[in-house]
Amino acid sequence: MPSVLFYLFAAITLLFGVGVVVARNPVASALSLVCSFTGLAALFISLDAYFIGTLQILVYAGAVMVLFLFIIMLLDIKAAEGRQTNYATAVGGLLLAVLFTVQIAMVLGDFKEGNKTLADQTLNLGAAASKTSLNTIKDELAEGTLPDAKLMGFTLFDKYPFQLQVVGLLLLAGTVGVVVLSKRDRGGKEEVS
Amino acid sequence: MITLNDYLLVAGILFAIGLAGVVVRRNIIVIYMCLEMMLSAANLTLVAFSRFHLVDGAPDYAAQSLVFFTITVAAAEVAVGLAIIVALFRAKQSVDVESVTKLKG
Amino acid sequence: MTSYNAASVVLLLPLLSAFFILVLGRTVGTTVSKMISVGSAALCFVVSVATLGVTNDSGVLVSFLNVGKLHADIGFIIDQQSRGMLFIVTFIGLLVHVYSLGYMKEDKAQSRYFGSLSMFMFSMTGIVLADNFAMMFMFWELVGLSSYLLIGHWFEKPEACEASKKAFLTNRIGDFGFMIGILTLWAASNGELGFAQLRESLSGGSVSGPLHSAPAWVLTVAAIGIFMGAVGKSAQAPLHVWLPDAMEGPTPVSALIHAATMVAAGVYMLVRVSFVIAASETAMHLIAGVGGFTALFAALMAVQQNDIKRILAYSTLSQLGYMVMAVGLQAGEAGMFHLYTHAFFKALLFLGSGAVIYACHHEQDIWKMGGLSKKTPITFLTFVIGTAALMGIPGLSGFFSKEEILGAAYHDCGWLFTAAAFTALLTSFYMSRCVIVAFFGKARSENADHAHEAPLIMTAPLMLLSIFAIASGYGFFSDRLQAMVPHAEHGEGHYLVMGVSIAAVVIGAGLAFFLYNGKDKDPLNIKLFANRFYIDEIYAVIVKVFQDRLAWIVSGLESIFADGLVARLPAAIACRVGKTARAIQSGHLQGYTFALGAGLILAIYLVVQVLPKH
Repeated sequence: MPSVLFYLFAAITLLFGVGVVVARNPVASALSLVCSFTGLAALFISLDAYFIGTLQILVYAGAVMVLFLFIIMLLDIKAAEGRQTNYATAVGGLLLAVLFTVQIAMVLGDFKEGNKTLADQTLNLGAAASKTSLNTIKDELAEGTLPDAKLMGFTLFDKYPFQLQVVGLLLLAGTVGVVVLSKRDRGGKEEVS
Repeated sequence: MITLNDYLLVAGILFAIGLAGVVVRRNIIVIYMCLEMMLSAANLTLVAFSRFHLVDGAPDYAAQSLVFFTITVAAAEVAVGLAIIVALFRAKQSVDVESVTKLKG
Repeated sequence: MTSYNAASVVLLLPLLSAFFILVLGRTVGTTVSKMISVGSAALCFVVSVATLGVTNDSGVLVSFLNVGKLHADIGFIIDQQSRGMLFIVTFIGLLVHVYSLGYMKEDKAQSRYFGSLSMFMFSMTGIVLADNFAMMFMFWELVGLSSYLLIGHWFEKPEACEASKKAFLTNRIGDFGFMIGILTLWAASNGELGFAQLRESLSGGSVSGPLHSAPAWVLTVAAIGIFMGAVGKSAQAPLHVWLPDAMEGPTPVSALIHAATMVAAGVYMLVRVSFVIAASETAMHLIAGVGGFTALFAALMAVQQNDIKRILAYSTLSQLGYMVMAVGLQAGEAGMFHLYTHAFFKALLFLGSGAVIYACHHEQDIWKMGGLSKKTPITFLTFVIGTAALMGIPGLSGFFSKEEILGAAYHDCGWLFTAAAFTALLTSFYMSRCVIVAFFGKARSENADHAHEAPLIMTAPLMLLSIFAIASGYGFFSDRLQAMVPHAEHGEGHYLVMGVSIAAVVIGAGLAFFLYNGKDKDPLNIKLFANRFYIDEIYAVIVKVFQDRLAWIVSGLESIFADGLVARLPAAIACRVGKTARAIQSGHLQGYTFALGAGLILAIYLVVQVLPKH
């Protein structure tokens, strides 16, 4: 992946991220977030994580953001915004962000292994194919393509089946919780992603 | 060329923006968005490490499984959190965090 | 019936009855409660009669406490002493139960009353059967509790309330000494509490026990401590003040607890552990002295009382003094013999006084009675029999037992004999006074004029008891009942003692007749006796002067140390810290998040920059 695209998508991600924070209108914030997440998905894909990238767009930029916009519309909170900005908190937030960034930069400066480039770490699909037991994955690897979703699924069901069940249970609990929370009066229903 | 540190730095800055947003903003919905941003920043570091730590020539899918779980949990969290926001709005007619000061000592 | 079964039945039946009435008394109603309580008393009586024939035995019913060196069991001893006492307790207990059916007929809380009676029977049989000090102490306290409940039965009356409190607190003083005595023995004998083991340890028979080699003062302390328990429970001077006040309770209770059984528990216990007392010369002298003093002292006070129950209460004190004196004179068997005859005639007198009170519509002042001999003939006759037995008229039970004690005093100590003989004279005097004033002459009040005989359920126990009051002194009778009769050989001075005691009776009765016959008012007026030597007032002053001062000092110390240094200071510190800390809790979400972020940065700084350098 050429460096230009990396810088482009990194800039999209970060600038729209800043947009989320500075936009006065919550709807603008939400839309900025969608853009930021799209850039982030592109970064994922640049890291050969096609499945995660897709998930990022589907779940975050799609479902979750729809939920946010829906709530913003439902509550009609545009009127609530528009108060004077509190400069003390603004300065505090900025200070935190800068300090944190500096700190991360210093850590990364000492992180020698982080200097590897993508070119240093080329995928060796042939080697991967010889280690895989599942035939469909093996065939695709041998053909020279990375079956990202299949490998992902294989890992999840092969190595983390229990954790997957637990997450399923968590989603169920979340669904029930949302219904209970929203049902209180006049039965306002919530969509669960 | 792009190094691992570049990705990590981007993730760090994204996290810092999210943190600043949580501190600065008073609209609780926007605070939630910023939280999502911080989670995504963490996801980016995981995916970056996964790509730069090859296992048998393929990316480390253990890390990507963790990202998968994070996204799932984050989605559930957003759903519950927004339901709480709705309940809060019903009670206070506001989504400003300044209106919720029950924890004041 | 084996003695093990008998002991368990006698001990457990009243407990079950009390428990049942406590739990279900309200549900099943008064009648069922009464039936259960009386039924359990009757069964206990039957069983204790059955035990009269069994051989001596002892054993453990339940292993109660077993901690380190402390072994306390719920056990039993069946021997002559406990068999005889068990008979008295259950017999008089049964009669009192039956009598109460009549006397308490109109009471509102009969379930509670009969439940407390059962409770008392349980505690008393526990004391009688006890084979070790721990068990005896437990039941000792239980007896105190049930006595408290029964004295305070009419708790709406402030006097009854005060009297029950007074009885309980006064007993506590004695019990404290009792506990010290028990603990001293326990420590000195290297962890023994059983009577048999202690006796063994003291005698140093087969194995030279640690008690045998204990210094004399230890045994004296133990004996005096144990005696203090008896002083409280048997109402000896100076802790006698509670017994007259306890007459505020229902009359059957006075008969059962404050005449026949509970107050005798002290004497019973002293006889049971007489081997400890015998080991200390000092304690013996003290006990005999206290007993003789109480006998005389109480008799003097009885001379000027006007309340029929109080007269009897002081006479009880006086007779208990006799018994205690006998124990102190190493004549425990004479003491037990007197206890046994006294139980019958004093219960008779109390129940008789109850019948009188019942007849006169709850009038207790003898000067407001009079002329009752014609209106209540059965009560009169039985009361006179009881009085005669108490006075010690030859041929009745009291004569034999009292003479034994006088004989013991004569052989041992001259001035004690003088005191005892004078007490006998006074006894004869005040009892004659009571009978003459209450039953003869003319009715001196409305209530006495309309007196009527008590119902059969109340007079039947009186008649039965009067038979015992007459006959229990004779050998053929007392041997059947396993009473501890002294088999003293009548040595020199026997006839002198007999003569003195008969003379005392005659002089006392004659003096009373001469003074009181046909009088409407008391010709004697001795303030000192009537006001009970001002003992209560002296105690009140002592309490006021010393206790109030002490309480003032202790309260001052408490407010400085306990309240100030221990409680208030830490509280103030905690309060100040809390006030400071609450300022941090602004309630602003943004503030919290800022702290979170700052903490995160600090954590990264520490982990990455500081930690690797160390």
